[in-house]
Amino acid sequence: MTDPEMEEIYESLATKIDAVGQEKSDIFLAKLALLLSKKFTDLEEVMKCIEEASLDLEN
Amino acid sequence: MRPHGRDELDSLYFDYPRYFAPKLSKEKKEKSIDVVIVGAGPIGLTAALTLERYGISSVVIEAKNTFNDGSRAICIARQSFHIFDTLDVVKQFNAKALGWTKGRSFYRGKQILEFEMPDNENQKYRPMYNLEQQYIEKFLHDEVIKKPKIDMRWQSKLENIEIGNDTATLQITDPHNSYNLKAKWVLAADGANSTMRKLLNLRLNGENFEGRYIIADVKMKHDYPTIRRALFDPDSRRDGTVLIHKQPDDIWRIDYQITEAENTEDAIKEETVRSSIKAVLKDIEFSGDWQLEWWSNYSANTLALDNYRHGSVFFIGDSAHIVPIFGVRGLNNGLADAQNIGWKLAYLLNEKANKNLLESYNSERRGATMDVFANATKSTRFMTPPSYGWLTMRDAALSLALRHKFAGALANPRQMEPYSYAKSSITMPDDENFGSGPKPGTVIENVFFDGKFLSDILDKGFNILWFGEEPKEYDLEKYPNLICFESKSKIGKLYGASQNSSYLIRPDMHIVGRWYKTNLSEVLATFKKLLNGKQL
Repeated sequence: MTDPEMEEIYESLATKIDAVGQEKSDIFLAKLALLLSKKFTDLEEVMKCIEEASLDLEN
Repeated sequence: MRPHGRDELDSLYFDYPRYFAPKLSKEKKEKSIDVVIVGAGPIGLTAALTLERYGISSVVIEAKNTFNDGSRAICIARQSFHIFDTLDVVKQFNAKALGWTKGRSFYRGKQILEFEMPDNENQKYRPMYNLEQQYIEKFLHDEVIKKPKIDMRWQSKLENIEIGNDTATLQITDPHNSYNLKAKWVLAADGANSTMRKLLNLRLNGENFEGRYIIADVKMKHDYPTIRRALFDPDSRRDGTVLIHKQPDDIWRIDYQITEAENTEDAIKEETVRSSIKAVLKDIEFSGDWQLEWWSNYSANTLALDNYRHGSVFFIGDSAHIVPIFGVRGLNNGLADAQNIGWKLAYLLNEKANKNLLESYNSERRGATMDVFANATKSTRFMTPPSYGWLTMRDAALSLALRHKFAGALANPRQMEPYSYAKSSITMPDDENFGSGPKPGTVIENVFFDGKFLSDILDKGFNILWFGEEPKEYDLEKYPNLICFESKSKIGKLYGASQNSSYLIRPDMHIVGRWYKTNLSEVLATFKKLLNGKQL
């Protein structure tokens, strides 16, 4: 994915989060994570992404 | 605003001079002139010096009696240094301004990104410099008063304007009298609150963004290099953004976002500003003494006139466009406006070009503003996310950026490069035989060779780079300056040249067109067409 493509994804996610609303944004993002995971063939890679996304969340 | 007990012009580092209206007779003041420039800010003064360079006289009127205290631009881009270079003032700027190439972004105290702006041995100037606006105006003004062709009139206020067919009549009042000044052309460089705009009933159109900022200058001995710092969500300002720039004279610019919980009225109070700055200084681990120099509030706008030309009046700088600070394009685009209209008017007044050439001013410079707007929306959304969705994504990108480069790219500030006039009517379509080199519409790529830069050997008018044998007969009076190179030279390689390749360059260093294989008469025909303002 190129930088401009990543930016397009970033923008459409921001717009979609606002469209579904703050209350439903968790479930929206969880569904998205499952849909994207299904595109992978390697379980390990998905598990690695899950681990990485959980880092650096502390204040 | 200044701290309690200090006068508006009582600065910790800059002595504001006081200037007066000319003590000329009314008849002398009313003498008709080719160009009147309204406003002696950096843009108006640059326009006057650009015109003077081509032998054109102007009158500059300025309502105030000293340099600017309101507007506080600090970032000067490389291309603006090239403009100052052509005006013979760059030495003063070089001696005082702080050059920089790097920016660092921090998320909750941790550095997540360091960006480097393009710089190499072929560049005469650094990508960016920091210098207080007062010095920018002073250095330009010091040069202006050396020029007999520039009639600088302080404390001279524009009261009215009437635009006729061939001349505009400006009604001006100074402390001595009121008089009418007739001019063929008028440049309105009177800033964001332009009087000219109001007199002509013109409005800026566009968007206002949500983010509100306090912009403050602080004097302190802080040991940190000239690197722009952006603090996202720092301890001092949860949910807010802070920007920090080093300036000369131990002055530091601190811009911080007013968070949603604060109202502007409280945020702008001196004690609130002091405690907010104190918190920011703790974030950057500065514990020494500091003094508050000045502050103001600010919110991001993208506003512009629908047309930068109104009869014989051209709008240049903030009078024509207001842009958010994040792209550092306010001052820099204004300077490019001044240079653009400056050389075009000069060519017309020197009877070397047709009136049609002026048509390209609006399309080129308004185009540059629209380009800033497109990017500004993106950078402003990142700096001050307008909603929950944008905030969530911004924080996700910042958090990921700690370990992933791709996410850092989303936080990269934009608009550091000069705008390309590729779509301008006076820019040629590209010759697709070129495999490399700068394209038509862009600014030339500077090259260092034989101990000098390409920009040093350019004439103030048009220039032709010719890759081939020097012609036996060439009329330098009539035609552009001709610079010959071998196609195998360093420049030839960087410009993707073959034998008999050529580039035609405008006075503002933008490329008109290039030919992979040509003869000089073809290049000269294009030059003539351009001066007639014809579509290339």
